Amino acid sequence: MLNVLQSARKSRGLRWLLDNPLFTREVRRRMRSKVFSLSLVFYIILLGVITCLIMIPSYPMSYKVTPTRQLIQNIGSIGGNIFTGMIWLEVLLAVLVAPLLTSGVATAEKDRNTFDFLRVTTLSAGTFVTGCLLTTASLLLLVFSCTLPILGLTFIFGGVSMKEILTANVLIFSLGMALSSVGVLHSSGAGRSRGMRIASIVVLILLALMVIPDLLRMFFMGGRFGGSVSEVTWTQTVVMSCFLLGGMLGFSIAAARRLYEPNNRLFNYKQYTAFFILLVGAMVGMFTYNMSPLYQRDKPEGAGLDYVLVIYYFTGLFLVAFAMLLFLTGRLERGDELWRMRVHRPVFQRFDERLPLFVFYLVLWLGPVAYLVWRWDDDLSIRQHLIKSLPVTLLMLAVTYSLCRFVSLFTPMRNHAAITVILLLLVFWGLAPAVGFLFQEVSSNIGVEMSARLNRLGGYMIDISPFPALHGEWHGDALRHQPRNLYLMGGLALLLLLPTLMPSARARFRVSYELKPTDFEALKNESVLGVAK
Amino acid sequence: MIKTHGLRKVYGKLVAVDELNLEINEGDIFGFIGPNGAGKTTTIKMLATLLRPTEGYAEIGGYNVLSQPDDVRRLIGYMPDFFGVYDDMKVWEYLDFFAMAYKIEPERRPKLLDEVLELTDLTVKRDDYVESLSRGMKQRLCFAKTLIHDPKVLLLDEPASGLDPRARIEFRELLKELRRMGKTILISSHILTELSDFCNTIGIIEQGKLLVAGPVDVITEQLRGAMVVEVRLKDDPARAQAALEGHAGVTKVEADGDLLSVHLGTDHEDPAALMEFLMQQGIKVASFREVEADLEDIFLKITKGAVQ
Repeated sequence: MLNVLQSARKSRGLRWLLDNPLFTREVRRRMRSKVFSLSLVFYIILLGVITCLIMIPSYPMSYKVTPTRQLIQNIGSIGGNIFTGMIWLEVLLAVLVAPLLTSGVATAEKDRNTFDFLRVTTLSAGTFVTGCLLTTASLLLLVFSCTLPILGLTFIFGGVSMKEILTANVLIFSLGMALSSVGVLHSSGAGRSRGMRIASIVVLILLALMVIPDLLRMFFMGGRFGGSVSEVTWTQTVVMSCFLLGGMLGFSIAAARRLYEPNNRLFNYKQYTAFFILLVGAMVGMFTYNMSPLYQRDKPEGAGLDYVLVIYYFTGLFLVAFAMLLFLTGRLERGDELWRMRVHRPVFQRFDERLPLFVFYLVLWLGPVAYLVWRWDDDLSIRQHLIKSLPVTLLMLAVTYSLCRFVSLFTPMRNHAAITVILLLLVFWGLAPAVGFLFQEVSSNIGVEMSARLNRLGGYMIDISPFPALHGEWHGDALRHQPRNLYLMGGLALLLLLPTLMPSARARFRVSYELKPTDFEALKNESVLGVAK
Repeated sequence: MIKTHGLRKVYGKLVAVDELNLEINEGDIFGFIGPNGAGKTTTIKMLATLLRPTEGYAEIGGYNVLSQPDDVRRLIGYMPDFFGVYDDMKVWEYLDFFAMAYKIEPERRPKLLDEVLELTDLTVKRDDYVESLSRGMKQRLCFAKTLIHDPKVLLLDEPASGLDPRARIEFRELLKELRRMGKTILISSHILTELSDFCNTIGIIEQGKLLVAGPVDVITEQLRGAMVVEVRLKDDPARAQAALEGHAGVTKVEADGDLLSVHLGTDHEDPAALMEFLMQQGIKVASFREVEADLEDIFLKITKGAVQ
């Protein structure tokens, strides 16, 4: 037999794409499957039926009773309506069907007892995830291609431009890919249990419900033809697609990492689920608040502000919690080693092995913030608020990060470290400003000199916390002593960070392996039979 | 080729593998023997980079199983005891899929596929769907998949379980062929006759502990201790039994009709002298043979039958 071991090499270019075994297998299977062919036929028939239902009732009526100018407008509205119907179908497929298909990929391998076969090959987790995503991409492209002839009808009736069709398809494709990567992420971490799969489907549906209304609003609100066609610009399309595909990249990396190392902590399943539960909780909470009679009565200017505020706070706090989980101790857990060896660059290793994770989470958090900024582009004050409060939030994270590093110098126990960090954060950000306010209250009732000192001290105690600063900003006041707040928080972060950068301290952050290499030369003298009883 | 030192795997309170020290040389066929739940599969999975050891060290072909898993995976072919197949694929597609997973160049794959199919005697099934294959055929297909990247080391976890006698014999012949090709094979089984034919080294594991390991003949010699001689008599087995029980060096005589099993002590004399003694006593002997200790005897002698 040929020595194929020597010949195995990484494939390049387009071949890399076609040499993906999962992609090839799925394409073969799909092309062979009768169910798939029938589904496609059914989809095309459905497209035809929907188009007829839209077209037939509007066209003859318009022809008979309306004057010519209005007739043209009505015919134009038929094109818009067909476009709306097609986009609806595509959105449903991209948001619901595509991620549900990918959410079972790895679990299906596990159910079939073939997952271990794949793991012992040189197939990387990245190739596995890429294969899943390529399969989804090909499915979406096929579905979009089926829709194109019907969308072509809109050009006969008018009312929809090529740009609108393209932007819609690009955005729906990006969204489908992003949500599919979430499906792969679920699948990669899930075992064989049905409960886990149901949980992942629930999260996907929640996610879809969060996304669909906004997406449809983007296309069908404020359009030129009474409910159809958006005014989404190319810039917005590119920005949104980049954000969605960036999210896909992040989720895919996390999925690839978790596929072969299910116990690692990068974007772990619980954190992820908690993230979305918090987000959904925030949205539901704000929706209820918005609908309440009290709020409706005293509705202030810029009604979306509180809505944004809650999402911002929730995601910000969640990021702090993430940071705490990640940076609590200097020791990586078992399951993190391979990732560290393959991916971390020396520059990060010299400082902190978790810095790339920090950056990753930050980017993940900045995504929704960027989305909020874009979404409320008609309200400049919200955009300004978000941008202005970014440095405060970043410093908030820096303090958390430094504090976690600092605390982990004294205890290797995660639980002890967690309690200490929470207590210290409560002291710095909760107790200190409370006492500060008290001092300022008291200062008004005592002598002038003492009062000034107490007042100043109280001010410092308040400004060491990010919350009073952010609160002032949200409520339209001048940001409370912003430079002092930034200096104090930055100083605190630096103060906590510096001791952890000392060489003796850094030694504590190195990973210690329980698995020690053995000197086999020394063992050669020992007979293996020596272990026999 | 395969080395482990202090390998340990703990699941909660259960110690599945405990301080496993093993050394298998290149070209060895190592039979890994143990009762169900002894830790064979766990050990093989750790060597195959599928399970992370709790403690200890393991290397294959000089590559650390923990820190260089990709290099180890290039060297090994792994076949588990329970496995699944992709039913909706043809036999050649199935093998091509794994060849692709091993990043074998597309130009080399067709020739390689033919060679593996020929080796595993599946050439006639090339274009059949996997779901149409019998269990034995699927097992062979799985084995073909294991060989697709020409691995130097084969980790086979009870590869012949569930096969009919004919398929077992064919499988054994296949393993012998691979031994001739110079592969290092670690094969686990609890069917000892399966292994005794072609293993040159064995290891016996029970409750996660390796009780004994080394060349089969050395272990047999060390553990055989007392020799057993079977004597078939032409007549008067009772007199022969009485005579033998009184003979120095004989520890026990068991009679089964005209067949006597004579147990000699560890410091026994040459069995030929025993034959001479019988002839001197005027006892007519129809046959006289030394009973060779096989793997089953060794296994029963060493293990306690405890299951975790």
